[in-house]
Amino acid sequence: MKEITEFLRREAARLLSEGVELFIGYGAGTRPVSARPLFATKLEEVAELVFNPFCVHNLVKYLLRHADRKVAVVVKGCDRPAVDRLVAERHLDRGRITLVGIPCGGMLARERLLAELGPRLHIEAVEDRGSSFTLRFPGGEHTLEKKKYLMEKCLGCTRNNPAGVDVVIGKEVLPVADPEHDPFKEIREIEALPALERAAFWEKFFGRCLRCYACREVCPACSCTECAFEQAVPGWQQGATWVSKAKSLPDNYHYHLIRAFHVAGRCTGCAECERVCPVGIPLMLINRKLAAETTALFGEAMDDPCGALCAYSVADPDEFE
Amino acid sequence: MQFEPKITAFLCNWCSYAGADLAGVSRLKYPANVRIIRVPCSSRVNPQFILRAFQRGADGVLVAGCHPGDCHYVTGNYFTRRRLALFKRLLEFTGFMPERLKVRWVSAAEGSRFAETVKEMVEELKDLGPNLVMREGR
Amino acid sequence: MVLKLLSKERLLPFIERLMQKFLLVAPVREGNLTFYQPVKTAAEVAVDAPRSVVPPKEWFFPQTEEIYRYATGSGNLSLAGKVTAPPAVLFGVRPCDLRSFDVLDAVFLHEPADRYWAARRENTLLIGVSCNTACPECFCTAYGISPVKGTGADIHLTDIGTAYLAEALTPEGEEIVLSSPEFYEEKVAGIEEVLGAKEKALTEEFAVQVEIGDIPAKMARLFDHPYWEELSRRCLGCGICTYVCPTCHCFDITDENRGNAGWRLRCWDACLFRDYTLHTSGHNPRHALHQRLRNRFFHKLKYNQDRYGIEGCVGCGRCVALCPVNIDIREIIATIRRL
Repeated sequence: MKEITEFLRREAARLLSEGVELFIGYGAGTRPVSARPLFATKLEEVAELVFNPFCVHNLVKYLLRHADRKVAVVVKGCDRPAVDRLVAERHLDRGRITLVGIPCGGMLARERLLAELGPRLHIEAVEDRGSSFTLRFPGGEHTLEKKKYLMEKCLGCTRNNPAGVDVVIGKEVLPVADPEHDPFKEIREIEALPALERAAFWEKFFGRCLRCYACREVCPACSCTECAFEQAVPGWQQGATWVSKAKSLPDNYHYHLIRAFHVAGRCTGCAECERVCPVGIPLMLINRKLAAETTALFGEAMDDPCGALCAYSVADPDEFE
Repeated sequence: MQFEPKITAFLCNWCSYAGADLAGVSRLKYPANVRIIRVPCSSRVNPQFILRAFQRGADGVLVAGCHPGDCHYVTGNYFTRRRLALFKRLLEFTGFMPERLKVRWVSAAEGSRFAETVKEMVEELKDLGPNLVMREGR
Repeated sequence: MVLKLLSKERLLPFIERLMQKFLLVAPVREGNLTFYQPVKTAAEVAVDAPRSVVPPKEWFFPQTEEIYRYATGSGNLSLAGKVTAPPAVLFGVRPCDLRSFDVLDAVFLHEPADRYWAARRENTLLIGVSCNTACPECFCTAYGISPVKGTGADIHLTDIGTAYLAEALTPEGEEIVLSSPEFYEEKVAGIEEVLGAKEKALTEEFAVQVEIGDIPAKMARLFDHPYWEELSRRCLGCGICTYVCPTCHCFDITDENRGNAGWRLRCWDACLFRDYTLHTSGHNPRHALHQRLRNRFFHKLKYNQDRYGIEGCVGCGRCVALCPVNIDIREIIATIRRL
C-alpha cells in the first residue's frame, strides 16, 4: 500500500500543476485506524495524501460544493457510480472533474478492528495480501482475514476496480467479495417476521434516531438544494413542514421511509449512511431491499438517468387491477 | 362497540372520483368509513400524503386512479403504478400490514367496483384492527 | 461528606431500594450502544457501560419537551402548561457529564430561570460513577475534571476492586446513604492512594493529552482566520456533534396543530443546520457552512467562558469519536494554540 500512496501523491502533484484547482483525497485521521477527507490546493499538501483500508468515506458528494471549479477526486469502486448519478442529474459537469480511481482491496470495519485489537492501535503500515491485510505496529504485526474484518458492503462487492476514470492508481486487484456472503440474509429474516414484529424491529431503531441528518448529508443521492424536510408545506396552519423538529417515532419513521424512497432507484450502495449513523440504524437493509425490488419490478435498464421512479413502461407489472 | 376503521381515499378527479360519484347517484350502499380527497390524477399522490394519513390516524389508505392507458393526463397513472408498487413493498418491509394500503384502478363507469372496493377494505380492516404503526399519540 | 464502602454484591439491592421510592434513570446496553433510560428492573442497569451516545443531560433537557397544550371547542379555550419532574435518580453519571450539568445550570438557571430544567434538577438525585476505563478520545482532565471525583453528584461511586467507594457529597446524598446503613461497611484506609493511582492510570489511557492554555484569548484574534473555511471543507453540516455534546443546549420552539387542539414543543436544534439562522425574509447571517462551524467552536471554546465563566467543553470525547469526518476538537485546540 506504500507504493499506491506514493503513486497517488505523484499523480496528485501532477494534476495540481496541470490545472486542477482542488484535489480531494484521503489523509491520516487523528484516531487509531482511521483516515479522513483531505482537500489539497497546494503542491506541498499532497504529501499528506494516503490510501489504506481505513479510507471509507465517499468523497464524491463534496464535488457538489465545488461544481464551478476544476476538481480531482479519489474514487473507490463503490464511490464511482455516485459521479454518474450526479452528472446525469445535471449537478456536475463531467468535463470539470478528474476521476482518480484506486483499485480497492476492501475497507476494514473499524468497530470490529477495535473490538479485536483494542482501542489503542498505532499502525505503521498496512500490506494487502489478497485475502488478508497485515497491519504492522511497533513490536509486531496482525494479519486479519478479509472475510472476517471487511465492512459488510465489501463482502458483496463486485466493482472494486473503478471503471471509466481518468487516472488509475495501481494495478487491478482481485475481487474481494466473499462468495459465501449473502447480503440479503438479514432482509429475508425481516421479511419472514410477522408484521407486528417487523414493526417492532423498525420502531426500536427509528425510535433511537436523533434526526441529526448525517445520513442525508453524507449521501450523494441526497443532492436536492432544498430537501423535502426543509420545505414549508402549503397549508401552514396544519403543520408547516412534513415532519416537525421534534423527535417522535412517527416523524422519525416518516423521515427514514421517505428518504429511502427518494433515493430508491438512485442509491449507489456506498453504505455511507449506515456508517455515519451515531445510533446504529441499519439503513442499508432498507436501501438494499428497495434496490432489489426496483430491479425485480422494473428491470436493470435505466430509461431515465434520474432513476427508475422518474420513468415508466407500459409493460410494468400491474397488481392493482 | 365495534371498531370502525378510518380510511383515507385519494381519488383521481377524472376516473375514480367520478366512479365514487356514480356509486352515490346509483344509490349503491357502501360503508361510510371512507374519507375522500380528490386529486387531479393518481400520480399527484405523494407517498408522504399516505404516511401523513397513517400518522394522523388512518387505519387504511386507498389510492384509486384510471386504468393504465386511460389516464386523463395520458401517462400519469403509469408513474403511479411504478411508484406505489414500490412504496407498498417499502411499507410492508417496515411493518405495515399489506391490507393497509390499497391501490386500485376504478373508472368513471365503475360505481359498483368502487363500492365493492370500499366494502372489501372495511371488512379487511375490521379484522386487522386499528393501525398502530407510525400513529401519533400512541 | 460521608464515606462508606458498598460491596459489589450489594449494588443491585442498593439500586432496588432506590427504585422503591424513585424513578430510576440509568445506563442501559442496547447492542453495543449505551443509553440513559428509565429502567423497570435493577438488572437492566449497566453500571460499567462504556460512554453513552446521547449524554445524560437528556434527562434534564429532553430532546422533545411539551411546554403546553391547548384545545378549543364551543367557545372555550383550555390551556394546560406542563412541567414534568417526577422524583428520580439519575444513576451512573460520569464526571465529565456531571460537570456538564454545571455548565447547563449556568445557562438554564440564569435569570429568568428555565422552569423545566429547574424542576427536574430539583427533583433528581444524582449518583455519579467513576470511570473504570477511559476511551482514547477522552480528555476531561484538561478542564480540571477528574475521572474519579464526583463533583456535582449527591452520591458518587468508585469501583476500587472488591467494592465501591460510596461518597455522599450533599445532604440529600447523605440522607440516602445514612437511611440504609445495612448496605455499607466503614471505609478502609488508603483510599486516597487508590483513587490517585486510578486517576493516573485513566489519564494515561487518553490518546492525546490536551493543553487548554488560554484558548479564549487566542480565539479572539482568529475569527477571520482562513482556518475555519479549511476545516469546514470536510464538515457534513450534520448535527451529530451537537446532539451528542453534553453542553450543547440550543433549542427550537415549534407549534403543532391538529384542528381544534395543539401543543407547543421545545426541541433540540443544531447551529450547524442550514436553516438555524435563516430569517423569514430569506436572509441567513450564517449561510456558509464555515460560518456555522466557526460559530460552534467559538461557543465551545470561548463564548461560554466569556458569558458564564465556565468552559463550554468537558472533554468527554463523544464528538471526536462520532464525527464521520474526524473533525477533532482536541486537534482544533492544539491548532489554535499554534496559530
